[in-house]
Amino acid sequence: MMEMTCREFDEIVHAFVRMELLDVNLREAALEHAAHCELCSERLADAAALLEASDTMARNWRNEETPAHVESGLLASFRHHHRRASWRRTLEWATVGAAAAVLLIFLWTTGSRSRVQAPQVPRKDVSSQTEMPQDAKATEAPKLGTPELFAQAAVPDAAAANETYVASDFVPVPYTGTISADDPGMIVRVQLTRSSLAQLGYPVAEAPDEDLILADVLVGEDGWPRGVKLIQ
Amino acid sequence: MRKVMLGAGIGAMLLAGAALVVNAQGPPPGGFGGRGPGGPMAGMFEFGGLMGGFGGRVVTGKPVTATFTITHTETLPGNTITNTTTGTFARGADGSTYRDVKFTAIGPWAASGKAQEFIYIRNQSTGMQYIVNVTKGTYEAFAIHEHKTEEGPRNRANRPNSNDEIVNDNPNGSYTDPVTKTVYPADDRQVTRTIPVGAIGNQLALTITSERWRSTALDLLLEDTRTDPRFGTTTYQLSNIGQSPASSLFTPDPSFMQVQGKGFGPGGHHERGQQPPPPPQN
Repeated sequence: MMEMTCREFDEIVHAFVRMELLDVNLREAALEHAAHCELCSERLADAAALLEASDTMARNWRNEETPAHVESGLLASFRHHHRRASWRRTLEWATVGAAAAVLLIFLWTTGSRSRVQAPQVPRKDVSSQTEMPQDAKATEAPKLGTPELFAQAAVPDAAAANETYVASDFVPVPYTGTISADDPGMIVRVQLTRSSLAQLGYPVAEAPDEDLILADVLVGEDGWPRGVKLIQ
Repeated sequence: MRKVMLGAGIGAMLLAGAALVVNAQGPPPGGFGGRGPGGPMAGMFEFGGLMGGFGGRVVTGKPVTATFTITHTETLPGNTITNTTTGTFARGADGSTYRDVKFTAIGPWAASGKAQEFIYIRNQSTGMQYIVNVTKGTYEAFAIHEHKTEEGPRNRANRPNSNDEIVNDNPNGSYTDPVTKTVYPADDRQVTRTIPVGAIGNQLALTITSERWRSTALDLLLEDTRTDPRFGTTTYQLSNIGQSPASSLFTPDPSFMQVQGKGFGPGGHHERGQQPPPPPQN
């Protein structure tokens, strides 16, 4: 028969009382040791009592059930959480959708605006009559931007003036020559500084250079400006 | 993650909304981009739009196509500025004209920002004129109005040979096409203008010379060279002169989109309720 120490007994005592120790020799050794060792005998009795108490408690709790209100409370809590998550997801998608819709509207509006932007200013007939010359000499060059300028350049045929550009609409660029009736030109709308006008020889009034002027420029087919009409 | 998505969505919506509001205010009149640090400086211009052609007689029975080159050279102390613009000019047998232009410069002014490319077409057969914005791929159509082209008395009074102008006209000149080397009989006309001392604050008299070769047979300006001490030298020159342009040249590219103009004159009353027909889809 094998000898067993108190330490070895302590390691197997709970398995022994739970009938989980299947080695017969080991079981006999444990019983032999408990028979001769008072401490280990008490340890064996305690383990047996503990096992019986836990079995009893397990049998008593086997019939116990969770109260019904706990289940309903848990279900309600789950449903509430699910609803909140669903609402948040819906809000996220709605926000993204609204943003996309606004962006689409913006792009559409921009596209529409660019399609109609070019003719924002009423175009006048460009088939042009050249009743008045572009006199290069500009003997007394009228001051741009003054009412006198346009008074001097009054067009004889008022009806025509309402419909067409005429040469007299433009203040000739000093010392640049005429543009005759046979010479095709183009009218270009530009924005420029006063000093740019002064560069061409116009006696522009003194003003801060930052001021931009809106003007129609009569350009000869050689690309050279022949006259300038200020846009009021 | 959800918070990031939510924040991004709301941010995008606010940004787009703000852009929409700003966009709804529209650009300043004239089609310009508005003032700002990028506005034109002195000696520059900001392009606002091609208003159309001006003048020019209807020449029939003399079809022609050519490439035009405009070269502007300005010499500065120790430096030279040269700008070149090229384009196509065409005229049909019926007098229809086609001219494409890139507004990189107008005389001494350089364009600020990106150059705009336009085509101006006068179609005599359809009685329509078109302003084609090549850059945007759009065009506007207007009816051609007939006008008198008689010269006024002021024009006749200011014919050359006045006091500040000297004209030398050689009707037997010739012009050689720089590309095809074809020689064309041309009227060679030289004009010398003098700006008297003090006229524009100048200490000394300034002499401006210009010389233009014009073909009577083609009824066409072949070359124009202008030298002005204030601005430098500008040369307009035709090359690769040919004949008989395709009739399709006188209608806008069918792939371009027609945009609505306001018609001619204030308020565009001429075109009110009468939208010009689209160009033939040939």
